[in-house]
Amino acid sequence: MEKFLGLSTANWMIWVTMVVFIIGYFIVAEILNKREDKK
Amino acid sequence: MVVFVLLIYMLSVIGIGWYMKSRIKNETDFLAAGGKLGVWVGGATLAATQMSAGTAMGTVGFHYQIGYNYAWIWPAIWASWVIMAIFIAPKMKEFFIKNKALTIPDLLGTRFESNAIRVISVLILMVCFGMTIVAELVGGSYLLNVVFDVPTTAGVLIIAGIFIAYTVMGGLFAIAYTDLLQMIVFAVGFAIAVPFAISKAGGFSTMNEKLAAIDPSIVANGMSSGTLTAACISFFIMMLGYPIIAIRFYSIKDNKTIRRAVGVSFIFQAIVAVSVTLLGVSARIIYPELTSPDLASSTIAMNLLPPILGGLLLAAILAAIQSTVSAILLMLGSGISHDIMKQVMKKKLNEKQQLKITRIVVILMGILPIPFALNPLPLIQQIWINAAAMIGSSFAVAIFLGLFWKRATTAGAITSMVGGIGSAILWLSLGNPFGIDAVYISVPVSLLGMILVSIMTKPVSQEALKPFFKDVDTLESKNTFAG
Repeated sequence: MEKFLGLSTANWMIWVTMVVFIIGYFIVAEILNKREDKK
Repeated sequence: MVVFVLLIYMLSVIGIGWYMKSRIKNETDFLAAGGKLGVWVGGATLAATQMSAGTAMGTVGFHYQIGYNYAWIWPAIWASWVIMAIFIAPKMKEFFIKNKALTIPDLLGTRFESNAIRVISVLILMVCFGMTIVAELVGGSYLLNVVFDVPTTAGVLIIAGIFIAYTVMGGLFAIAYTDLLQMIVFAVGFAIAVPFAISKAGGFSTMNEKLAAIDPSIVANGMSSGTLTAACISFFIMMLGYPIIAIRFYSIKDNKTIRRAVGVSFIFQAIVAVSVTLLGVSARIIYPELTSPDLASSTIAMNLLPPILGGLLLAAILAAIQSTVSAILLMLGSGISHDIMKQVMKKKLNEKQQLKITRIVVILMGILPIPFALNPLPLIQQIWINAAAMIGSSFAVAIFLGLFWKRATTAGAITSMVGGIGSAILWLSLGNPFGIDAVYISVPVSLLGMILVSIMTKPVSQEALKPFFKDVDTLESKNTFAG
C-alpha cells in the first residue's frame, strides 16, 4: 500500500475529501441562495 | 490550574444559562430559541449538537484503538446534512412555522394523521436517546474521575445533576448561545492539543512508523470496510431524521441562513475531525496501556498539555457532553409535554403550564438513565453507533418519504418505524449474526415496510398532505372543478 509520511494514501484521501466537500458545499449553497433571491 | 480553568468555564456557561432565562417568554423560545438564530450562532449550535462525549471521548478512543480510517464517518454525516439542509429543512421549517409545531413526532403525526405515530415516535426517542444519555453520563464521569479522582458512580450523579439544572433553567436559548462559546472552546482546545501530542509521539512520520510497528492496519484500514460502511450508513441515516438537528434548523432564521450555517458547522466539524483523529492515534503511542480507549482525550489533557491548555481541552470535552445532554433532554421533555399531553391527550395547557411540564419532564428524563450509567458498558462510540442505527432505522424513511412521497400511508409509516427499530434491536441483541451489521438489515426492513404496506393501504387524506405538498391544493381544486 502506498504511503506518504507514513500514512496510507487511502487515509490521506479522507482529508482531501473533506476539503473538497466543504468547498463544493459552499459553492452549491451560494448558487441556491442566489437563485432564491432572484425569485 | 487545570481545575481553575475548568471551573471558570463551567461558571460562565451557567451564567449564560441564567441570563438567557430572562429571554424565555414561551415554549417556542424555550425549545427553538425563538427561531431567530443567525449564521454563526446557528452554525455553532448545529456543530455543537453533533459534538458529544461520543466525539470528544468515544471517537478519540476509536481512533486510539482502530487508527485513522474511522474518520470516514465525517463525510458520511455531512452528506446527510446536505440533504437535510437543501431538501428536508425547508419543508420542515415551513410546516413548523405554519402549524406552530415544534417536534418530529408533531410532523409525523400530522403528515400521517395519526396519534399512534406521535406516541410511537416519542417512545422510540425515549429508548434511543436514553441510550445516548447513558453514554454521555459515562463520558462525563470518566472526565471527573481523571481530573478530580471522583469515583465513577458519584461522577455520573454529579454530571447528571449539573446538566439537568442547566437545561431546566435556560432551554434552547441558553444552549444555542453557549454553543458558540462551546464550539470555539472545543475546536480551539482540540486543535491546540494536536501539535503537543504529535510532537510527544515523535513527529508525524515517526508516529506513523511507530503505529505501523504496533499494528500496520492502524495507518491503513484499521476498521474493516464492511463495519466502517455500516457505521457510515448508521450515522448517515440517523442524521436524515435526527430530531435534535431538525429543531436546530427551525431555530435558525431562514432557509438561506440555514444553508450558510450548515457550511459554517462543516468548518467547525472538520477542525474537530482532524484533531480527534490525530489525538487518538498519538495517544496510542504516548499512553499505550490505558485501561479504556475512552480515557485517551482526558488523559492527554491532564498529563500532557500545559495546565491552561489542559483545562481548556477538558472544558471542551465537558462542553460537548453538556450541549448534547441538554439538547436531548429538551427534545424528550417536549416529546412528553407537547406531543403526548397537548396533541394526543388534548390537555388544554397555557404557555406557562406547558413550559412547567416540559421542565418537569426534563428533570425526570435526566434521572431515568442514571441507573443504567452506573453499570459496566461498552465503548462510548459503540453505544452511539448502535443508537444511530436504531434512530435512523426508525425515522429516516418515515420522514423522507413522508415529505416527498404522497402515497406514503399511516400503516406504511408505522410498519417502517416499528419494523426498523424492532429489527435493529433484534439484530443487535443477537450479536450481529453472520457478521452482518444491524443497519444492513434494519434499513431495508424500514424502507420495504414503508413502500410495500403503503402501496397496499389507503392513502392519507388530501387535508393531511396539504401542509407538505404545494400542488395538493391545486390538484384538489382541479378535481372539484372536474367533478
